[in-house]
Amino acid sequence: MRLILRGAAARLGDDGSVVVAGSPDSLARQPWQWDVRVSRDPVGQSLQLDGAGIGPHFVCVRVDPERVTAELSTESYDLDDGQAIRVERPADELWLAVVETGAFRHGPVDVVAGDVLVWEGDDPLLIDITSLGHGRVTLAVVTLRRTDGAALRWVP
Amino acid sequence: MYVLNAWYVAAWSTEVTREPARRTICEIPVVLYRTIDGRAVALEDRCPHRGYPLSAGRLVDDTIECGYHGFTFDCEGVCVRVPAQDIIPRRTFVRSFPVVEQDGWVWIWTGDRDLADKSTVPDTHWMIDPAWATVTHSFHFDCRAELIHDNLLDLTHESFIHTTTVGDDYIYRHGITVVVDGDVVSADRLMPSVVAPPLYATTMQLDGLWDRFHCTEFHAPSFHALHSGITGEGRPREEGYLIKVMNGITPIDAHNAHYYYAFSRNFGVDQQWATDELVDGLRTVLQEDADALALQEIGLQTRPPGEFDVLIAQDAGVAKARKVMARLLAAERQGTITTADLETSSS
Repeated sequence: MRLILRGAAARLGDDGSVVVAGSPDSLARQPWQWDVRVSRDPVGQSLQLDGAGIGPHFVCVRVDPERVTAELSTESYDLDDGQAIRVERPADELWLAVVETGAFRHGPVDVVAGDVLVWEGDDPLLIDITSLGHGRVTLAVVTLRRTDGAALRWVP
Repeated sequence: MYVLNAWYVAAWSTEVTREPARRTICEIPVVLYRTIDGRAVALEDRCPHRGYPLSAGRLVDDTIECGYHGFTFDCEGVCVRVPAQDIIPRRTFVRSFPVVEQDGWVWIWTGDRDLADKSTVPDTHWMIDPAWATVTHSFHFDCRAELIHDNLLDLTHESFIHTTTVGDDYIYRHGITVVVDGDVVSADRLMPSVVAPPLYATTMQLDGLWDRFHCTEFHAPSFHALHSGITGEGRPREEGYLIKVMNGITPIDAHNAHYYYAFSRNFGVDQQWATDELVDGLRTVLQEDADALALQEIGLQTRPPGEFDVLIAQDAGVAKARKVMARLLAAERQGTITTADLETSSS
């Protein structure tokens, strides 16, 4: 499953922060495991950035270390208009990306800065993006894995 | 609990005539009629005198006269006549609802009339575009409206419920792309190199392998546009046999809903036999859904407290739509999302 949250990174609340995804993502009937937020201030593991149409901010991830591990990174691609790249995601990992700069086609959807993408489960494992215009695509990427080695599944 | 600041389909244009018609929308009784010059009118269907339904009365020019004691109301709901006395009491009025009539649909706004923005009525232009042919159906569903929203946002049920028409096992084998954009949630599925399901194979006159796709676009809280079709393998969707299914979902009460359904196609537009096949086939589809959701409604009403849906990845659109609905409800109450909201929208 892939999920695109339009402009989610730009919806900062009064506290200068917005949770873009988390588990559980609704009422806490299950134990809390992780959340990812975009924030003016660092919270947990944080990556400082200056895109997504909102100026200086942090992409932050918090996890229950007994259950989940997280990695934060920035991925940048200099692409010509229409140039495509492909990345393969392990089926047991959940990936979340905040689009910091650029615009691209992904599956049936055009994606722009400020959008948030999540990939989960075994479809799709091959992530294809095709640049819409000449320029740099920059993604803040959060990679989540279960500590017990099993696949990390998620329903928003 | 209903989102009231919204446009709901109240009727087809053809159902609004010079005879008053009654509807119940979000538990609000509504009478619909048409003025002499053709304008659709929606008033609360309850005379303030004694609560008699105005729909049981009659039209007098552009006014509606209560069939019990003759109180008469104009198109704005203002009482213009009380037969038994000259003075009209100040509280003698009924609520009128903003109405938009567009492409054969009659929409009413059930909330704060100052918030009614006609530009937010969903696009249904395929209904009147001569390049498209349309089949319509109306159904009463014995279930809460939310179950229809879930049904449309998770089309894997087609593999099991609609085996003779639009279903096939390959549907649930393909994942979805969910997009959340404000109050619109869409769930898109591409099914490359598959056979057409029986109803499409017949009416599109296809065999062999094709790319099938469907994308449910939920405009919370009341409308789904389903963009679907079949195209050549690897070819753009817009080249294909295209279908636009428009679904107006209007709550009646907590356990019943009106379902206004329109299926527009860009193939075989002038072929009456194809229209006839689709009228029958789509009635079958809707009846199968109605039967299934009535059973589900019973299941939910008898489900013990503390048991909740077990959602899976294919339910991502369902889950996100429930959250949008909860947010809209909370916003109307001008409060924060409560535990009760989250219980009903839980994943």
